[in-house]
Amino acid sequence: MPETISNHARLGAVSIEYLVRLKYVVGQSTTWSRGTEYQAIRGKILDVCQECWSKLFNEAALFRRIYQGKTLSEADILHLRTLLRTTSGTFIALHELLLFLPRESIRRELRDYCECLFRPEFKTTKISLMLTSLFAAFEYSLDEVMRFLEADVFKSKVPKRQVLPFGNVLELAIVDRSNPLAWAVLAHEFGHYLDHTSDITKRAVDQFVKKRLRGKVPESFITAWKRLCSEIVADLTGYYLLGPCSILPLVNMSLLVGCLRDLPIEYDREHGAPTTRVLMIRKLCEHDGIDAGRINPLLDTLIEEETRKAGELPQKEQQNRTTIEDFLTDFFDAVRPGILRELKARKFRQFTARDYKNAESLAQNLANGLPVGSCRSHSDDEVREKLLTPRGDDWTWARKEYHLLTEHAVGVGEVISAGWIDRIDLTADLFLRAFSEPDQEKAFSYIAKRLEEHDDLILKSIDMIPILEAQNAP
Amino acid sequence: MHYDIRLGFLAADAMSEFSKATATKKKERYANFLERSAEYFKAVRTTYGRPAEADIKTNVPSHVAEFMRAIVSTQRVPPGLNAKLEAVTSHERLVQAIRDERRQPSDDECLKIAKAIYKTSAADLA
Repeated sequence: MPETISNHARLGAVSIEYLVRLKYVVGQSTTWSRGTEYQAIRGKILDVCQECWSKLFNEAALFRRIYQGKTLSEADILHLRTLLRTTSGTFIALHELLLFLPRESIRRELRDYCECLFRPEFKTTKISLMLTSLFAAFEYSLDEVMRFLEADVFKSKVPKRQVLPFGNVLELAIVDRSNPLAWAVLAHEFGHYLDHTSDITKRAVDQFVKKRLRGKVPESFITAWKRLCSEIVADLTGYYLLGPCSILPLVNMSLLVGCLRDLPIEYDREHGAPTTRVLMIRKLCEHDGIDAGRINPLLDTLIEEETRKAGELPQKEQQNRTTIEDFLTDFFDAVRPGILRELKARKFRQFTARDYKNAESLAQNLANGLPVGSCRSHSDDEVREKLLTPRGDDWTWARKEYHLLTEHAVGVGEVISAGWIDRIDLTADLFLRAFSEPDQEKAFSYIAKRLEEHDDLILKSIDMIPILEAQNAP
Repeated sequence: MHYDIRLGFLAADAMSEFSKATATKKKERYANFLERSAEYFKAVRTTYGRPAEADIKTNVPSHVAEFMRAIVSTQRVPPGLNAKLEAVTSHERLVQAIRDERRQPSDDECLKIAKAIYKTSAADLA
């Protein structure tokens, strides 16, 4: 097995994983969507998924070479990129059809995840958790969804939050219902909720205009900066609560969408380009002493893909991208301290460099098939030393040392980070073995089963956290 | 963003033949590649091809011609579509010419056709 795998291998893993998940989710849905009209939709989705999967498996030899780390010819690369474009496009188009099928509610573990990560400010009566369309999943309130969809009613009248207090939603793509690593995106969306309810952006931009620009700025620019700043608040909240892995769902989605386009993803007047946002997260890691080397392969894949595409743009457009990135990072540096101060004042559990280190160790437990929602307060060596030190023939003293085996809950951020680290590590093995299976059914089942097992371990880990917290509560 | 799955599958099939042809250098593989490429280019052209002013024949009744002009003027063309159609048309001609000459395409021609397939299979931006 190669120690490092190529960007093509990473890119393939993202697209193929989404397709497999979609086919698996739809295949599982027979029990709750029995009507003939639903069967017709489900049947069509499954047929198209199957056709796409067949095309992928027909090229198993190519994929084996990719996951063995072998060099690809120009023809191989074009072939691979076309296949991945087809896979991503098929997944994205079919996912929207899931909206026509009855769907399950969110998982119980998702609520536990949100309660553990966002307390003390997560209230189920104020925020709804929903499974929805792939693109609406990246919105955070109903009025934002309406704005995104350009619904006419909201063009002229944006509801005030006092009038529409039920508008806060945290949305997740239907396909990610049981994929806890994808739930990391909700930390970003929760940041929007915080901002929406307490005007963090407004204060940050007012401060920026007052200090840096001495107040002489047209209102239209201030509005644009507020939109941009709101995304920075959300990214910072994600990072503050979950660390660098908070950006990974965006990275995956950008790689997926990127397969379909020859142009790089741009600053859209709200979100910085994904590459700029990765740059910002890397700055934060550097500042906080987090060595995120284990997740770098995925970040580097996105950076290299986008840089390659940007390099093919006309010179003028390349310059524009650089100018925008420079401004955005400068703006980010200016507003960051104030926003972080506000987050610190809110009594959230901050994700630290120590948590990331711990997540790296927990990733090893996951790789060994163990859930990671709890850990002992004392190390194995410490326990062994105390229990194995001779204290005479009366062993009743040992009972007094039982407390050494007490377990405490691990932070949910560490669990999710451990999951991401392990998932990134297992990519080559997962796909090399799958594409070495004798037929396409076995190969599909292999990927689906391993993903399900990995999801289950992380879900089980999240499940343990509130139980242990309640048990150890003073 | 719009992506046509059926066209994507045709592109993938053509690229699969391209890959096999370049790996094996066998005559029938090249023939398959040209055939699949032609199918893909034709499918793109018929999927995206829209009526243009030039398509309105001079002998149609004036009220029909007026109606057709109205249709032409209301159609919205996604950005990049004209470039996509131009690339498809020119490469379709190249494939046809090679097939008419009953010869094997050169490596350069194969690569050129494959690149055109990849490029034109990108999703349409809104």
